[in-house]
Amino acid sequence: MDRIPIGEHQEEPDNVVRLPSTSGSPDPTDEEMSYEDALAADADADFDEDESEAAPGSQIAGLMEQGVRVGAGLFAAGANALADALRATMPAGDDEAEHTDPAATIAGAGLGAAVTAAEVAAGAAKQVADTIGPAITWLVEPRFAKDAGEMAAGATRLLDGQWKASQAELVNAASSFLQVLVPEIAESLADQVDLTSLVRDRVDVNAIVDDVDIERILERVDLDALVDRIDVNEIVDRVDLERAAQRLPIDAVVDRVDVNAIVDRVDVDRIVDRTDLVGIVDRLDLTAIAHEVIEDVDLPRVIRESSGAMAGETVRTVRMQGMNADQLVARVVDSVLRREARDLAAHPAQDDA
Amino acid sequence: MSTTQRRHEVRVFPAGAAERQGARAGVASRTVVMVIDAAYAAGLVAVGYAVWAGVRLLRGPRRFAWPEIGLEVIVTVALLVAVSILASAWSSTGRSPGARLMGLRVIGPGGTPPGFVRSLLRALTCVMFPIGLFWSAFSARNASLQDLVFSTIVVYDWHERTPAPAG
Repeated sequence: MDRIPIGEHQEEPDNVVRLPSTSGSPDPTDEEMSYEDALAADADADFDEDESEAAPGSQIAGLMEQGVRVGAGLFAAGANALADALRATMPAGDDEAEHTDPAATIAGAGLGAAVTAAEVAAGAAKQVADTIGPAITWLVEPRFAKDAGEMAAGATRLLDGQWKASQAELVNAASSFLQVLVPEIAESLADQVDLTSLVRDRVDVNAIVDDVDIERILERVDLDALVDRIDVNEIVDRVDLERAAQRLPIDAVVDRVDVNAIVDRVDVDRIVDRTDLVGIVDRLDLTAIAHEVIEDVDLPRVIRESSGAMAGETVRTVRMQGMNADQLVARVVDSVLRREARDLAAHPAQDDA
Repeated sequence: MSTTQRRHEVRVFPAGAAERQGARAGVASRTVVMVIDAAYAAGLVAVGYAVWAGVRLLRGPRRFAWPEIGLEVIVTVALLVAVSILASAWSSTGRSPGARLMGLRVIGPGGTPPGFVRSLLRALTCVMFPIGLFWSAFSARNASLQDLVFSTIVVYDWHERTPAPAG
């Protein structure tokens, strides 16, 4: 048995139920076909033998049959999946296993019975308006009493064959039904439910986040590439440095700076080597500085102490008195002699020179 | 530089003294110098006499008596002492003991202390004829007779440094 390719059929099956839809059908020809017409067409396709178009119960019968078909299709899909799963657990067999696969055969038989039951139900419903005789006749047919075991095996094979014959049809019907129904349900559900609040109320986001392995995510992130994409210059242009600087505790920063350590590292000798000391000295008024220094220094005392021979205050007084006496005598003598003041220069000739 | 040095050097002296450095000294100062030198010489003689007496005492205390020296001898010795003091002082620094105290200096024609011969002769004349000093009171250039004879001058010079020979 093949997998049932749900939803992969491209061509439209002719027995698809067309549910009324506001979104419209992609096929314009189908829009003209009414719901009842589609049911009638399906009923025509399946019940060629018992054609009774004008029968009053035909619509109900068609609906019932189609419902059973859809249910059978859904069941068939589940049964196929179950069969595949069962087969997967069994040891691998040869190609003939497909024909003798008991699980598949039993499942197919069950499905065939379902199909038959559907047809029976459809037929019964159709005949409610007329008679229920044929159905009873079919049920009490003497074939059932002949050979029970052989008949059971034959019936099983028959039902399986009947399932296989109508498998694709049923699956198509179910998948078409689901294709239409599921989006409608999902959409209506989405309209009714506030997913955001639902997630907020029901989902423990913190627990999910706790389970997230951040390290692993970070390992997979190429930070270098990320950084390469960042325009640092543009960021810097947008930074208000003035404002940032105002928020800096400059005093606290300065307090933590060890100025002595910095000064210790300064090579003063090298600075002096590079300084133009001669140029600085040339710009100084050394004469004026020397005058100021000499003004403040008690030079007589310095000379006295350095020479040891310069007379003290008394001797200087005596000398001054001698000088004054000399001057007085000279002046008196000169005045007595009525002559001009004396020329006391030691060596006029040398001074002239 | 030398100008600056001199300007600040003369500030050592009291007002009125600086501008007279190097000028010819007058009779009053020189008289004081002469007196001091005479006293110095006399003192030296006295000390010599005391030393001699001491020596004599040590040699014969029992028969010690003050040495009896004639006045002529003493004066002669004193004059010799004075001459030797003055000659050696003038020829070396130009300053006798009195001149050192009074800040005077004897210089020869070259502006430097006179030579030994000139100093010796000047000393002899000064000792023998001290009155010659007082001619400086009347001299228009404060020159004593000895200065005129030996071409020396006496100047105020409070500087300790002895002027070096020029050139």
